[in-house]
Amino acid sequence: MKTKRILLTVFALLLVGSLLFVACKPKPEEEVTVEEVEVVEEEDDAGAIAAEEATPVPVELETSEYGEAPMLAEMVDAGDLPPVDERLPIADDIMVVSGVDGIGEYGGVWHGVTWWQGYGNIEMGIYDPPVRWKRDYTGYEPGLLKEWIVSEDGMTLTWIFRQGLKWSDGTPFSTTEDMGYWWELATNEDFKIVTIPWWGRDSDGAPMEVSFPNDYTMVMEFGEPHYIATYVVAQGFWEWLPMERPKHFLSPHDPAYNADATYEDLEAVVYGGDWLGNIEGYPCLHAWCPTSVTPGERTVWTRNPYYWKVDAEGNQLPYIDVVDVRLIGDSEVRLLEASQGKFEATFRATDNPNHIPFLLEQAEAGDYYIHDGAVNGAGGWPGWLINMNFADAETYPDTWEEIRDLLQNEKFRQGISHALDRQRLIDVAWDGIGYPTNATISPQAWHFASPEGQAVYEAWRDAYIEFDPDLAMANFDGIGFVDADGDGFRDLPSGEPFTLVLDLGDWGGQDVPVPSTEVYAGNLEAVGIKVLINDLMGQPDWDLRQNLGLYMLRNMHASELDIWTYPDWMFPLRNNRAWPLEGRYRETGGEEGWEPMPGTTYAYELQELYDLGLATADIDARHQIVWDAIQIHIDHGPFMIGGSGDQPMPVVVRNGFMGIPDLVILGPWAPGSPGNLNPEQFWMQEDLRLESLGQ
Amino acid sequence: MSEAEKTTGIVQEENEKEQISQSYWALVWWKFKKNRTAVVGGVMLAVFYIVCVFFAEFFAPYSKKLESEFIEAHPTGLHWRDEEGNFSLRPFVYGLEKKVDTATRKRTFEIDTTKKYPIYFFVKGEEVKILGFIPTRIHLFGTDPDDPDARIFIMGTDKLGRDLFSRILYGGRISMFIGLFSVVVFLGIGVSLGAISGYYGGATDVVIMRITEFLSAFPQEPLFLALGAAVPITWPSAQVFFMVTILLAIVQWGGLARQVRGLVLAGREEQYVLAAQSFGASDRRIISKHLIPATMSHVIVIATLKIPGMILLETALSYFGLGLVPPTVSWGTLLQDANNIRAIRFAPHLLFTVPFILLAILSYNMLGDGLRDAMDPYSK
Repeated sequence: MKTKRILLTVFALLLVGSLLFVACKPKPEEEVTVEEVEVVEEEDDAGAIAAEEATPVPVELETSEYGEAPMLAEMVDAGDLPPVDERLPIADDIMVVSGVDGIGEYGGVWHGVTWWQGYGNIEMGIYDPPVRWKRDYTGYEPGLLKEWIVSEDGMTLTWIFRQGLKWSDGTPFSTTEDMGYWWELATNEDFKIVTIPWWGRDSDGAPMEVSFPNDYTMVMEFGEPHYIATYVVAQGFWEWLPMERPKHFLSPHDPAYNADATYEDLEAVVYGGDWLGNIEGYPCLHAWCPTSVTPGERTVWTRNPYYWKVDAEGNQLPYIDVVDVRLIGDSEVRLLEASQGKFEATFRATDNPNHIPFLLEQAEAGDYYIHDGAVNGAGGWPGWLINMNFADAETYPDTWEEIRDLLQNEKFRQGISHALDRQRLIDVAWDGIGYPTNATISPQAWHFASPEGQAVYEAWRDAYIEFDPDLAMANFDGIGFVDADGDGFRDLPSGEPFTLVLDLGDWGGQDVPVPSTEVYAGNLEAVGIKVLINDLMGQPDWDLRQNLGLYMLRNMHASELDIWTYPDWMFPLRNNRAWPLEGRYRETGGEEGWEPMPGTTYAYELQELYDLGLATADIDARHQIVWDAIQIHIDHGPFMIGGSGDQPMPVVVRNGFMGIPDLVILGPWAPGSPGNLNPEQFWMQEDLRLESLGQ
Repeated sequence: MSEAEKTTGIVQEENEKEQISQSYWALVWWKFKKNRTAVVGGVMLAVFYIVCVFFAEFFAPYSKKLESEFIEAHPTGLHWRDEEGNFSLRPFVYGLEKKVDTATRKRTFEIDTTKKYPIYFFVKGEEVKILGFIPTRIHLFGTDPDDPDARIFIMGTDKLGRDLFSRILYGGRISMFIGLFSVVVFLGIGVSLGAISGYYGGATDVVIMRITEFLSAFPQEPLFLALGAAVPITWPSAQVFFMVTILLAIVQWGGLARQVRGLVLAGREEQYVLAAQSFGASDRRIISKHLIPATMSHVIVIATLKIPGMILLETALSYFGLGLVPPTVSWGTLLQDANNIRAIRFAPHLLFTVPFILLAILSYNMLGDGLRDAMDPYSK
């Protein structure tokens, strides 16, 4: 009894001690020079990129002798691999890539991380579409293609691939065989995994016609002009990867070629568009191809001995031998590992700008730096999409039409935009660093490069962003959205109670949407709207509710450099964003969804403009069409509410990792960063290289 | 009278004392009082219940919702002596100034020694309702309510600029209450089913005991996950709170039922039960008037020791987002804010909830331990 009492007393004392210890305020370790007392939110120069359309950069080769990686030279010596000259395409068709940091050194393992079973963020880095974004984001250049020709009427596209391209197992690439096989799969009614791409159809849904005049050419013919279609294939990884189908590898699994195979077998190797991260041994045309896959854990890509790019001195790329990526689901673990320098260069291991102070503190210990020029390119982060096609008749059998009309009412939408206290949002979500904006596409988008374009951007950015609860309430009162039953919350015009549901998901990171949605919910309640936050983090409902038009508002992150190639932000073409059902109608050629009607949700008018854009050959005239569409978004919007704008991104780079250009834009996925930065010319200095090999 | 007593007379006196009849509960109280640790635990708990559960509105300087512009500000220290060395008996806090460093992308709230805000007691602040119906504007302490810049955050603020100390008090209300309330439900189910099982035996006993075994064999977390997912998101927070307490009790009652069953099993063979039966007392009367009271000393100890477990369980569940969810404030939901590297590195004060939880749990354990000793007053 007595011992116990003593023990307890000791414990209590310890506890009080620890309490005091915690209570002592931690001393700031080092005074950081504080440059500004108040954040100055000036956005004089939105930094739009003056992009040109499709101009290849000719880089002259300095020698005619090709160099190769030591690991390949050994294989050549052993007779396991043909010499480098035979592995490269024909001399005229070899792509020469200049090095950002000069001629690099071969070797090393580039360690990376993903949170995603599809390895989408890594596929972004191992990016080799037929046409690609230029390294400096100023437009497009040929990739796998040597050139492409758009007929004068815009109805015929001719892709001329580099001659002598080979798959990573050495099998020659041929359009008749491989692109032909892709088209076979895409048009196979029994196999729905590979489909005709959305850009391959006319506005009435009729698909293009594909033909192959020879084994390095592909011709696509449409019934309408499609001046933009080729550029679409440059976007991200998701447009081209579903088309990259080595016939010799896949056809043994295809029932059409092998009577023993089933479509399930084929589906397992085709693996949608994510084969690059998941199918071991799939021959590819990229710098590194998947050679070892441990599902749910790790994928290793090894250099493609038949890669078709060389540096300015004729050394076959890539410089780095192996890309080794682990799957780590927890963002905090990824952050810790990045802060310990476990990844030689990581563009998306941690995508939260709020982590920059922590990563900067650890930079010396982790032997890395934070790349200065990396930005997000966000035109709205966080932001909220408003559903113009609200269709949840199941949950709201009596009131869904009224709710739909309310969400479609521009006075309502403008009201909820004025209700948002954007400065408060920035204080809470962004440590007070940021600028208020309505939702736009990226400030850096090429449509905004001219002074006129800049003015359009600014008008869009500043539309309905003043924090004005009185104006919001006046808007609501004016449309009969008032508190009818006296419970303190506004009711539908019919008098039925109304709760605005804010869907909450991890779009825009896991950390940013939560506090910003809390702020917005508070703001909305302050103007008399009852709000329910519907937490759908990591749940399939999150996307389902968008695609079926069941959400009211959902958080998002908006950015895009070229709206023509990823039009969804402004033009309703698919079942997502603000017009899921009217987009669905377009996507299915009128089989599903809602038919857009003039003068209602503006989906009709925006689709008209999009079709006009597709049929417009002149690039400036196309910019003008974008501005006209933006005018609809300003006059009759907002269709999406923006909170705050662009942010720097924490790109963690180990000292000694070379080849990263100054400007890196990571928010919009379409440009495919870091893939467009030519990762094949990234290289490591000796110390880092040896460390990466574990030596 | 023996020889010894005749000569000394001392034993006689002792005998007289022994003859003063003490009830069982008086003995328990007498023994409990002698256990300082237990008394300290009890007093601390009383303080917790007064400060958090009943009068949080009065003790907290701000309401749990008040959102200030000071986001993740560190605690404001109390001062008696200013920069120039002037001493004032009335403590004061310095003002906070926001500093943003765009180079390191860091925001801090620095102490601005040019601004001093004295602290007053019984200040008139926001209007709140004590116990939900007594309106008052008086708070125990605070700064000048007429000066909007004057703020006191003795434990800092959270990510929305809310006073953490106030929120810990309000969170304590939910967490302490949920512990107590779920134990009441737990006792209700556990004792009655245990008693029925022990008293009737046979098939009833088998069925009830198999259920308890099933419950104890079932891994708790997935069970909570499933039950938690079944709570509709549209439910108001009060209903969710009620649901969570019941969930806690439902999963846990098995162990208690087994113990009560054992005690009843022994008790039903006692002669006083036989006597009651021969007098024609109903089963219900025998169980509720004779058998259950006989198990009380045991049950009270179990209950007291169970409460901290329930509190911890609620905290853990809410921390993982399975129990209560914001905007409900509980110690578990408060700890959610501190579950990332950024918070621990730059806003470590968010962990202030931890010592409160530790103290509350420790107090319950001290009390429960004392009670266990006291409930058996005849032991040495």
